[in-house]
Amino acid sequence: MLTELDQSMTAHDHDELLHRRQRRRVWAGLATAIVLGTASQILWKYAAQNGAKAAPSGSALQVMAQTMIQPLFLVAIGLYVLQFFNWMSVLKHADLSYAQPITAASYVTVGLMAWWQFGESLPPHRLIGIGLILLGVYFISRTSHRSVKPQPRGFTVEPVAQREDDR
Amino acid sequence: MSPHQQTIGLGLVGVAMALEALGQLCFKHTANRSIHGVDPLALMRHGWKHHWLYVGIACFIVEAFVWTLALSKLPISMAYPAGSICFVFVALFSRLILKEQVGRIRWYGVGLILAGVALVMIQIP
Repeated sequence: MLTELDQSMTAHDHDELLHRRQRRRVWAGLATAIVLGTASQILWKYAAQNGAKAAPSGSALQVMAQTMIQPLFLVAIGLYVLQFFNWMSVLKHADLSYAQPITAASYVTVGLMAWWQFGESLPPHRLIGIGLILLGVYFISRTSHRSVKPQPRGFTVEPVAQREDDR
Repeated sequence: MSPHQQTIGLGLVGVAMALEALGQLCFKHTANRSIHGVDPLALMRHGWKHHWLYVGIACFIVEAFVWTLALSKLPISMAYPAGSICFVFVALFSRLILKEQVGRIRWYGVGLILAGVALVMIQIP
């Protein structure tokens, strides 16, 4: 039989376990958001490149029309739809002020892909910028992922107790 | 590019990014309030009941037009770094409207990201 002390300890451990499991889920969702965002940007660029090649006169309207019928463009649109559902499930569990800035990491992945796939240059100032963005994302990742309890039916939000890792 | 056009362009970037942050706020509000959960099937079945979701989508549509207008007045190397003001709007709105705890560490993170985006996007001739 559990004593009262044991019960309160298991409740705390249970909370801790849930928090940690939720955090892993949030991070899986954020990684997915960054990958989907990067992939759709790159595919969009490929589609625009192919569209520009396919446009006989090269007028802006023709390039746009040719881009929109590229299969890669449709894949990019499909990725945006997936992105929406993934993003909603991230927001269900994490603060907006936690999740949104972390997606800034996609500036880094898009920059690296642009260099690798499209031969765009990567001068020193750009590398320093990439480092600063990653440092900023690291700072935010050190805070707790959720500071308010979701209130499905209520009209007010209550702050949850501050965690140790929240400085 | 005249300085006048540039000011209008930067103003438009500000409006577009405020709309982006408002759209995100509506999405977050929907995710908080959703009693049906946010898995794709539940959202497709019940999403129409969440009015704020539509307000959010409307914000993004208007934003696309304002952003296109801004890009016609500013070079990309100026528009994109200016666009990182969005991170500030999101942190502010999250603090003021969603009552999230945006501590010092998160603000430092936003500051570093702002500086990083400016350096990544700026064109040094």
